[in-house]
Amino acid sequence: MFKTQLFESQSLLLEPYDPDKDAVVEAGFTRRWHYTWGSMLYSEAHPLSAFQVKKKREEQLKRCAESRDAFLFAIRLRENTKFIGVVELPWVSWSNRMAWMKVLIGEESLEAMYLPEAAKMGLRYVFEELDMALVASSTGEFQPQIFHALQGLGMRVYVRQRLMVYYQNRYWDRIIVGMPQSDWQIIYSEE
Amino acid sequence: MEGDLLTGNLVRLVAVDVEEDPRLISEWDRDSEFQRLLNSESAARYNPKQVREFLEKEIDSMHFYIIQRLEDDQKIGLIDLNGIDWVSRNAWVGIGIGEREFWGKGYGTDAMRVLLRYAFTILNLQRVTLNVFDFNQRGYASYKKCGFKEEGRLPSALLKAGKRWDLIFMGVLRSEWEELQKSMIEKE
Repeated sequence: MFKTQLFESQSLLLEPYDPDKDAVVEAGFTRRWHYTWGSMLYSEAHPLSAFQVKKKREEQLKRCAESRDAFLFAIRLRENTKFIGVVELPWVSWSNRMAWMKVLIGEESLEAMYLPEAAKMGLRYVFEELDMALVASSTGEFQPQIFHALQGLGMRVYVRQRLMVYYQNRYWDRIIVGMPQSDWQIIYSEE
Repeated sequence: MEGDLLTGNLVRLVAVDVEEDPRLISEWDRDSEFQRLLNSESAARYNPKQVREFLEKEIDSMHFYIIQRLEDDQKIGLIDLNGIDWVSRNAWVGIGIGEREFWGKGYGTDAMRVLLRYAFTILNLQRVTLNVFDFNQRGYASYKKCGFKEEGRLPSALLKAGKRWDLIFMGVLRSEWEELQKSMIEKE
């Protein structure tokens, strides 16, 4: 009946986040500034302990279950179910049919390989299951690999917030990219 | 500058009174247009007890002020700095004039100017950010007067009264605000 799976792609699975097991691995990811900044698990970007990550993620999962205005998935490799990152919808505005999305992959080498595939799964979920009219994601000129991956999927630059992020002794622009559902339907209609 | 930094030409910003102000805010919410101008989410009604609980929970994490007219001390609206990022020295601002008779008379612009002065000269922020909705042309013009520049918009991000509207992002840098102050002094 449906041509595509929402939680499986060629190389990846979107699975429930397991705070007991995944938080230990994710705590290691937070040593990468890009991961910690993107995750916003803490107000200042710094490495977190497994205890801290578990606490934050448990709070988030509670919110996901109770309010249904946020979603969190663990990204795992199909071949060995290794946990490599998360797809988050930190805020879904049902009244506006608009969602924010974050795709975070812990290891730089895996990010280069799997970020587009994971982000596409996130987009498919947002448009084909939640029926959002628009999805947005924030990144920055300091994260060219993420920025180019999102652009490569068809997301457009809509907002450039000047000098909004301080990193490595200078200010950088925060960039908001987005995609309307109409673009998704045009670009991915053949799948 | 000496004196009360939170006082402008038309208004002063005063700390929220958690005993009295929740009733006032709850009354302002009766005007759904006030809510639609202030908040991207669905307009709703909250009783004074709910407003008070919100304020008590959030009061330490944000700079929340009531806007009071200098002329007669009437409380007419609210303004807040939230989401303060002390590393990047950025904050988001939200503002609403609850009393409809004072819309379009410069009170919001004056309150915003006071808040920006506080943000840049006391809190040492380097940038202040806000969202405005494209049906709020009066707010947009007011923010431009205060020094904010449009930095882009999410097209058709909002749904109000059956129509889709853009979500506009604006920001003002400390350097831009300082230039604006200089040019205003030169004009005087």
